Formats: sequence, C-alpha cells, structure tokens
Amino acid sequence: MTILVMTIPVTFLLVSFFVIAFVVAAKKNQFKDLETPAHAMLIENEENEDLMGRKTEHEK
Amino acid sequence: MTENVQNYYFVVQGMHCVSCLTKVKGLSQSLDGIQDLQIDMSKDLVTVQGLDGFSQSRFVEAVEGLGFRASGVEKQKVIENQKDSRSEVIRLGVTAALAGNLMLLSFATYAGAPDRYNYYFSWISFFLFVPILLYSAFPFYQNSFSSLKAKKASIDVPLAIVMVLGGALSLRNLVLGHSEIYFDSLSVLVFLILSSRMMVKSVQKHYIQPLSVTDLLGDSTISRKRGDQIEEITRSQIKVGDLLQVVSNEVVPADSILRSSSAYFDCSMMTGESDPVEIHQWERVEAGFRCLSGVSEIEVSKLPQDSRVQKMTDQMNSILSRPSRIASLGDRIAQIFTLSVIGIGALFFAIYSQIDLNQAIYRSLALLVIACPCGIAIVTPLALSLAVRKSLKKGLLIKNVDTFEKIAQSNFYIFDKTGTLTSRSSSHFEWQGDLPSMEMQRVIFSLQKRSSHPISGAVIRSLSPESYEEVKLTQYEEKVGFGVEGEFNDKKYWMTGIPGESQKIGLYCDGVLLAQGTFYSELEPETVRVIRELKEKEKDIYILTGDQSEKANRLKELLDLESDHVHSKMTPESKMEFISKKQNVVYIGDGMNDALAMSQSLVSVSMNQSVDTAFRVSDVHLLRTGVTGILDLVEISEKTRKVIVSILAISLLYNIAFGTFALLGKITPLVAAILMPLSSLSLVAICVLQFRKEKL
Repeated sequence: MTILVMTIPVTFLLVSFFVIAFVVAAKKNQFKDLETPAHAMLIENEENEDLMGRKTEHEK
Repeated sequence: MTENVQNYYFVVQGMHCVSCLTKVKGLSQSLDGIQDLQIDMSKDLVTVQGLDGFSQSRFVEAVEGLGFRASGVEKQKVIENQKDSRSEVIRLGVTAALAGNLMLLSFATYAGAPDRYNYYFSWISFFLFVPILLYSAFPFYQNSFSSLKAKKASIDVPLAIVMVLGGALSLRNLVLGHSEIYFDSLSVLVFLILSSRMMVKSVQKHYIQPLSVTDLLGDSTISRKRGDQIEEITRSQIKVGDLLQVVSNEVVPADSILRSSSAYFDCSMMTGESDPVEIHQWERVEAGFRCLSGVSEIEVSKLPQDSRVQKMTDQMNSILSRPSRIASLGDRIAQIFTLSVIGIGALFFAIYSQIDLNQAIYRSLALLVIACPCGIAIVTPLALSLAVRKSLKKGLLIKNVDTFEKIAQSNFYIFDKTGTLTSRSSSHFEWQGDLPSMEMQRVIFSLQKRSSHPISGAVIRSLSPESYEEVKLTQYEEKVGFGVEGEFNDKKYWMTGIPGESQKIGLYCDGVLLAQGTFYSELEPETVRVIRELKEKEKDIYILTGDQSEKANRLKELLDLESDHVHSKMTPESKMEFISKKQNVVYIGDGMNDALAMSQSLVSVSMNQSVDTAFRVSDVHLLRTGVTGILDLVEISEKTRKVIVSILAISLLYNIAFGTFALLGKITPLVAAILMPLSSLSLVAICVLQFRKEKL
C-alpha cells in the first residue's frame, strides 16, 4: 500500500489544479450569465461585436 | 480620447427571447452617447458604457418604449450583487471539490481499511475539513449571527452549532485516537445545503418572474398621425390628444376615443367577452382592445400609464415581488420548529450526558442535523407563489396571497346581484306597446345616460338610435333602488319600478304614468351552476341587492335560495352592516356600492367589469366575465391548502421519525447529513409536481 504515499499527494495536486482553474473561470465571469449566450448565438449578425459586447471572429 | 466612459446599470424586465435582445441591443445605435451595451438576461440587467452625451432618463424612456420595464440601479448594488452570486458559485465549487475528496477518504474507512491507515486518513480529512469549516460554512455563521442579533432563530443557528460542535468533537476524538469522527458527514451537509439553497433560488426566480405590460399588450410600434404624415412612435411618446392609427390585429396602446367610423374590436382582454364588440364613432376604446377590422383612427384620452391594463400589471407585479409577505407563514413555523428542536436537543443532552457523554453529544448532533426545518421555510412560500401563478392562468388576479388561507376558512358567500349575478349584456328592456314619442325618448335617454345601473343600459338600448341626444335636465337625481328623476320644461320626470309589479319600469311625468315596459335580466346558466356547486360545498349563499323585493324574489326562486338569504333594497351602508354581523365572509361584487362591503369582508372578489374602486379594494379580481372564476378560486385555495398541509405533515413526520431514531443512536450524523437536504429537495419536488399535475 506504499503507493498511497504517491497517489494521495497527486490527488491533492490535481484537486488544487482544478479548484484553481474553476475559481479563475468564475472570477472571469464565465458563470455570470448562463442564459443570454444561448439566445445570442441564434442571432445572425454581421457586426463586429456580438451581444455580449465581445469581439467576434467576423472582425475584419 | 479624453471622453469619460462610465458604466450605467439598468434592470430591464421582460426580455425573454432573441428578438427582445436585438431590440434592446439596437438602442446602442439609435441613442447618443452609448459606447457599448451588454445584456444579462439571467439577471435582467443591462449595462451601458455611456459617454458624456448619455442620458439615463432618455435610455429608460427608450427601453420602455420598446415595451420593457426599465429602471436605473445603483452601481454599488449591482457590483455587490454580482460579487455575491460569483462568490456563491465559487463557494459551492470549492466545497464540492473538498467534500468529494473527503468522501473518497472515508469510503476507504467504511470499506474496512486497517486502523493504521484510518489514522492517517482522518488527519488528511481534518485538513480538508478546515477550509470547509472556516470558508464554506461561513454563510451559516453570518446568518445566525444576524438573526440572533434580531432576536430570531433562523434555520442557520442549529447548522452553525452543529458545524462548530461537531468539528470540535471530531478533532478531540482524532487526537485521543477515538473512532467517532464526523468530518465527512459535516462536509457533505454543508455541500448539500449550499447546493439546495442555490437550486431553490433558481426555481423561485423561474416561477416568480415579473410580468410586464407588453406580456398583455404585445409590443408593436405605434403609428401617430401628424397632418398627412404617419410617424412611428413608441409607447412612452404617446401624448393626450394624439391621433393614432390602429390596423387590424393591433392592440390599442392607450385609452382613447374612436374618431373614425364604427369598427369591431376584440375586448376579451379587458372584459372577458369573446364576441367582437362594435364600437361607434366617439365611443371609448380602452387600452388592451384589439382592432379586428380595417384601419381605425383613435384620439388618445389618457396616457398609457393611466390605463387599466397598466394598473393591473402594476398590481400583479407588486404582489409577485412581495416575497417577505409570502414567506412570513413558513418563517413563523420554521422558527417555532427550530426553537423546539434546539430545546429538545439540549434537554436530551442534559439528561443523557449523565449516562454517556460521548453518545449524548453524538446523538444530539444527529438530531440537530436531521431536524432542520429547511423544507418548511423554503417550500411554503414556493407553494403560495405557484398558486398565484396558477390562478393567473385561470383568469384570477390574486392581489393578496393570504386569500388562499382565508378562502378555506370562510363559509359565507355573499353576492351582489346587479352586474355580478346578472350580467350587463344579457339583459334587455321591452316597452309595452309602441315606443314613446321622440321627445320622450330623448328625455328618457338623458335620464338614463348618467346612471351606471344595468337597467339604464338596457333601457337605452331599447330606444331608437335617433333619439340619442341629450336634453337639458335640471334637478337630476339618482336614488339607489328608487330610479332616476329630473326636470325638463318645468315638468318632473321620474323613471322607476312600478309598485307591485316585478321587473316593470315606468316613466312618470308629474306623477302620471306615461309609458311602461319590462326589464328582463337573464341569469346565465353558468351562474346557476356556480351557486349550486357552492351550495353543494355547504357554503351559505346570500344575495344583497339594491333592487326592489319583487325582483329579489324572482331571483330567489331561480336560484332556489331560502327567503332570508336574499336581501333587497340594500344601500352600500346596509350591505356593509350586514357583512359586519357575519364572520369570514367572501364578498363578490362589482360596483361602487360594493366597495364598502368589500373592505369589510374577509375576502373580496371584484368582477371583470368592475369599477376602478371595486378593483382596487378587492383581494381577487376576476379577469373573465361571469362568476365561474369563484369555483376556480375555491378549488385552487383548497388545493393550495392541501399541498401546504401535506408538505407540513410530511416534514413533521419525517422530522419526528428520524429525530427519534437519531436520539436512539440509530442514525449516524453522516446519514442524517444526507437525509436532511434530500428531504428538502423532495418537498420542493412534491410541491412543484402537485401543482403541475393538473395542467390547464
């Protein structure tokens, strides 16, 4: 069972990685609005900006 | 770039779909000074990055013109709110990660890991538990602190006690090498409570969303006529006196006068009448009427915000956005509950600690965990708001959520007769012999025109349309229950019921009977059915009317009521007096003369075609014509009561049963921690399902 000495620290490394990634995503407002993007993607727009106020790939 | 960019925040309600999004987004082009505009539909929030030329009031006006409801919000509030919900998500995520890994470690223990490993695992668990205790459970401490400061026992108090005591006890056992360690159960408890709270929040938001006028009126643009030109304007730009054009299928945006020739309108939204109604030139068209044919021209007589539609939506919204009131009942019960659970726990501990201190702590902890009244505090308000929603769908506007509880208590149903039991449209008047002379008809028209009594409407409809011309009357007077009188050419005219003959109305000139006719007021078959069904439910039905007793008698026969249940010649004051002698009265009426009686009764219901006062005083407003809504109201109230009682019963049973098990030491705090939030969630599910069951 000495493998535990190895796996448990690895677990914690993984956990802390995912927790940090999650917190960073949340701080970047990834979970702020789960509703608007679902509607916004249905709009065909030639404009440079989408409804969320971010630049889209259409930018020329 | 020297220009100042500033963020402005607006709550915009009513955005549901893609086209709403595009419309609001389009404002960034059409209005000055907007650099960027962001929409957050989940929070109904619009953020505008405004330049120097940006005007908040103009923006709100423009958004409202599109048919949404908008209001500016303080920057500070929005930022705090955003931070709040963001930290909630982070808290939940971090807790999930910690509790999940903690559980993995405990599974090893449950699977029978040797003691040597257990010891290390427990220490690792402890380090995972520390952030849960200090960070994840922090809202519990905060809430219990603030509730204790307000001298109340919120459901967070036992949770906070459990966390601190359970953590301390487990640490002690860990150091001493005992096996009773509850880090895992406490962590799962925190996680489940945090997630169920978040879920309930989103359910409540989903079901308690404000309505906007546009839900009722649609949001088409409005064509205003200026000279020969037609210009497109928005609702907020409408002014009194504007000439508007409505084409077929468009909804009248504001109370107006019809200027073009007569046309058909669908008035069902405001009157519930599904047949098209012909409206003549110079007659009133209300906001909410839908034009059915051709192009009509209307002159605005009232601003849109003064219309009845607006008043109705405002009132609906104010009810729906009053959660504190809704919650009060559940809160009260939850408080009693919490206090008694803490009491029982403390008592048990005091007694059992004499026998076995360790077991005493352990069992009272399990009790505190399992007997949290979260279900009651969350589910009761949810049930009530679902009932309000359901009523709306059935055409009942509930203005007071206590209504459901009160209806269940009341046995007396008191109806106003005229306009409530007998509808305006189903009555007519027949002259005996020929119509009176044209001059007389004009006198009759002038006498009846000012009265709002349904008989007057029927009499006017019986005259020839050419006589619709007012003559100058002096000394005009309307005596409730005794007709109308006025002087014309020095002669005194009086129109009233003919004594001794039921339903007959005569025109008297200086005391001489000139002409007479019969008033037929039909009872809708629906009305008879409603009264019968209410009687079957063993409700006491009373009818109060301002009419003569002959008519009242006829009604009594038609509805098969006992003689002391129909009272005639009632004035508003005597109606009120009558009600004040009874208790738990449901009063159903429609007129000015009912408003007093309504304010006196336990629950008051105003009919669809009610005057404004009655509408404002009443607890419930029927959006459909006729009294059939009453049956729905009774049914929904009974249903709501059943749901609430069953939820309370289930949760009480559950708490007593598992609480006892916990005290007997049969339930470990871990099982308790899983069962407790499960019960809350199952109660929410039961509540939503029971209301869903009967789809409309």
